[in-house]
Amino acid sequence: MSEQVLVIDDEKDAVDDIIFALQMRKITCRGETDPRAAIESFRVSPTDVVIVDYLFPPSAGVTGVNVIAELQTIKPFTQFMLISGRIDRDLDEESLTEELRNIIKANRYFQKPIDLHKLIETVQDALRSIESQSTSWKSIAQQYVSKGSVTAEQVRQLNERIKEHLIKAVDETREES
Amino acid sequence: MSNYYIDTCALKWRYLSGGPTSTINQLMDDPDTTLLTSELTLLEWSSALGCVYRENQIDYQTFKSNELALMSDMANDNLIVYPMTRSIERARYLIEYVGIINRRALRTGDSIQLVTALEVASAAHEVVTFVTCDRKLANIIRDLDTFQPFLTALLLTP
Repeated sequence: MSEQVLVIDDEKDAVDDIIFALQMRKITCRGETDPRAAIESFRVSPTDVVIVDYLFPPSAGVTGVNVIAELQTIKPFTQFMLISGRIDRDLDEESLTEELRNIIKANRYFQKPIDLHKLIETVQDALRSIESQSTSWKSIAQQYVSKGSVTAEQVRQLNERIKEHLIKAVDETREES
Repeated sequence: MSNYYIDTCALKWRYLSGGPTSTINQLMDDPDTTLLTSELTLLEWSSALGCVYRENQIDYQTFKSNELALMSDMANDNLIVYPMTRSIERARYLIEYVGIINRRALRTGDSIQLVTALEVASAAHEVVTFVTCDRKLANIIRDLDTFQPFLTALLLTP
């Protein structure tokens, strides 16, 4: 079973502290100190909430912004929380993506040293929100298409070449279930 | 308002060109029709797309485009996904009644689709038309009393 929360921070102590606090509240979680490993881990087993550090060492080659962008393509309705050494210093206006603006607007960013109590409360709120959404596939679909949609006619044209393969695959999927 | 339930083998014709495509498009476009399906259908469609991706028949972008087309239909209320709550538990009873007592071939996925359609009919207090391209499944609905008067079958032939 997938954990509810993924914590990504290059500082192992920070990851351990957050994980300990989450586990104390019986929230299942796992941690990663390497952002690229975290992306691969999320691809295999996505979580509902991701807590991600904003700045990683230059050797990592990514920032928290890149990580969020990547994870969003894997599971668009993930709830992100950002942690940072100094929000006002790290986040210059130009670096703000739409998702980052939403995170800031929703008070889902935390300056180190992190107020763990506040972080846990925010995680719990996010998990409750996800739970209430889980029965509404329409809201999930709306989040998928918020950045552009594809019509059935467009995919019919795309699929024309592989029609027979797809018909066979649907049959086989049912046979296997 | 008419209620229709569509299974995966019929829904695929929304995203492929063939005999059933125009009927499914009409059902989706008709404002007086509600077209529903199970969460299982989403999974089966993704699984089928995953299969052709692994066979190198489509690229990742085409996989995502297909996923997005389905999500677009859901976002636009062309297709409503009925959540599975106790479907698995109820599907077990159907396996026993249809598969054991009546000795009809009912696969795991078939039983979940049928149970979800029955749940839709129960919730709507109306007859639901089960849209499928699977002749065996359509015949099970037509032949067995347990589905009457809740479900009728509409068999679409490719």
